[in-house]
Amino acid sequence: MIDTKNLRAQIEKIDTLPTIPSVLKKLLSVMENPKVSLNEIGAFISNDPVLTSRVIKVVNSPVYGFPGRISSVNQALILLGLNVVKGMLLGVSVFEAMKKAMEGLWEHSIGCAVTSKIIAIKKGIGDIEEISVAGILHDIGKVALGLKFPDEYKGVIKTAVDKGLWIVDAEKELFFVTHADTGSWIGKRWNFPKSLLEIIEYHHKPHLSKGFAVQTAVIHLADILVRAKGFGFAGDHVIPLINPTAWQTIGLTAQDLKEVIAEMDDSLSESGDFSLEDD
Amino acid sequence: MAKIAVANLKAGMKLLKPVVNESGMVMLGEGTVLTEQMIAKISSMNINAVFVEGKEQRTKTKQEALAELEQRFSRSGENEQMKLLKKVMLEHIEEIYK
Repeated sequence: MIDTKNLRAQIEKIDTLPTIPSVLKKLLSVMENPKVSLNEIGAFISNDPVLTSRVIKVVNSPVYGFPGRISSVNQALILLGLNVVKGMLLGVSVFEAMKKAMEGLWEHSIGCAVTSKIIAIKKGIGDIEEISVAGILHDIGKVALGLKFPDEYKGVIKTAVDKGLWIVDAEKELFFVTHADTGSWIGKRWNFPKSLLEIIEYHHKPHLSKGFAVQTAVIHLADILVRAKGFGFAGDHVIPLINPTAWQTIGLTAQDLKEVIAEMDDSLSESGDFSLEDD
Repeated sequence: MAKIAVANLKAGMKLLKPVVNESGMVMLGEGTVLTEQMIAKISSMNINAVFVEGKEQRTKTKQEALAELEQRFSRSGENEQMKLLKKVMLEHIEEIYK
């Protein structure tokens, strides 16, 4: 048994793990400055060829929907804006860590990003790119648990799968907190934008979101739809329940839902082997 | 629409989505009917799979897909939205396996 205070301290120090790539560490030091400008971020990306190629890859992927249209980092920055770029950089930098932490979590996260975008477009909800980024990062708390406590977390996943539990319940059995808590801890530590923080913290309790209820509801639903389709792996084989408040907030009709599910097919098969492995 | 590994492409297949190179330039447009030369060109590019006309190769049977769906919804109980989602998913599976 691990007490929560101690657990939080350990999770917050996750950036000292050798499994965290150096590019993420550098990025976090850039983001520590809340007044960092688009120019500084641009210079930071351009100085790192691996990061540059990943950013170009992501903005041209189905996640962002500018397929084959963006060829420079500056163009990407102008199109996407500071908050989205910050989140996207976190997304591409946690790629390795995510692959290492849990098999299938990257696919789940990309699937969630793509699906949240489909829902947002369907309902005319703004901030599409910000919502997509949140899709990639909503389960960052699982990455933290999986990297910091690899054996324990494998045990948690096994419990969830064997007993047919939701991953949050299996997490609580061992850690007394969930990945939503650990995700919000590192999010606060790493100066994530406020909207992203709320989405991470409340994606399983969307009715508690105060400032970003719509965005949180979209990620909540996208998470469930991706699991319903069986795309990727989020730690369990049973789908969490749709929160009625979130459902009302988004206001999808049965017909909308049908169309979203059909659109997911194309987008998910396109993202099926979307990977950031360096060629 | 079918997504096909580059190694399995054959002359005569028709592209449903453009093939783009790494910098995003369109190399072969939508609707192109592939020739052996084009396939050789695609193979030399850093691409795993392309979209062509035809039916998707299924990795599971309808029975398997339905059984997995049952398991995923096994804790959904009487939640109205989950009932709706399950219904839509069932219709969707029927549609795919038609």
